Amino acid sequence: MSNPMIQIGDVVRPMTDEEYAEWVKTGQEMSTPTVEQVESARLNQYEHYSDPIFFKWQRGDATEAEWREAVAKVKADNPYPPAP
Amino acid sequence: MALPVTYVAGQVLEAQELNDSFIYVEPGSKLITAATFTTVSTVSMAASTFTSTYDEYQVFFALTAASAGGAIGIRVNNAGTARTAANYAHQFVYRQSNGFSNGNDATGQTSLSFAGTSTTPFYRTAFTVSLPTSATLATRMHGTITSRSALNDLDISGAWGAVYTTAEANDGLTFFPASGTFSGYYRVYGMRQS
Repeated sequence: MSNPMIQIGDVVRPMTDEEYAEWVKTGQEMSTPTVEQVESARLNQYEHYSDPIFFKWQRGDATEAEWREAVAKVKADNPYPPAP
Repeated sequence: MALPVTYVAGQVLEAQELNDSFIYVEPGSKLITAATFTTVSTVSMAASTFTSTYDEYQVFFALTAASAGGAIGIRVNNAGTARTAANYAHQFVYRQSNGFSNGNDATGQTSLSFAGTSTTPFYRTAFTVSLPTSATLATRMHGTITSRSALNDLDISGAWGAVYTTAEANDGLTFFPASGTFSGYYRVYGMRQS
């Protein structure tokens, strides 16, 4: 089975083995968020998603369980990358 | 605006009259290249797409299909081949259709990757590449993007800036998905300087 195709200008050909290895490696790097990116995403989503539920809980309009569920969802949606 | 000379019906125009009446206005930009690509895993501009003829290039890149959702990478080229050193940095601010606003930045990356696409592709980015062929100034890019997130299939739009931090001459760009294949097109325009 040949490697995936690469197009350079108008020329389309299979990737060389070196090009394919480099593309796979880069794709894996691109698909793995950094710890800083995960923390930034979590912070943003706490603010918009789980914090409002926290304040509803404080006012008696939501339950602690609903707030904890929201926090857990944010963490599950934004997992930390595996340790290098 | 009226012509400087008023001609009358039936009059035969001669060369000098035409020369006196018309001027050629050069367009502000010139189409350098336009390409489509279909189910490839990497697409690169041909060597010498960017030349010293223009300082600024306008690039339009769009996807029409993708076999997998995920990030889209961009690299600068040297003689038609992508540069892979960890010399890429970007800043990206965006808003999603569910009301989330956020941003991200990175330095020391081996490619630019700040937004991805779902398999219902909506990835469109238009951006300016500044001084790509300068060997003494870093190549900078800035533009806007609208896409559909691979993570949650929400529309996402934003603005981005990026730099290839090493001062080296670059003559094109390479685009690639993190996995799978993609289809689409790109257009490159050189912006006239005077």
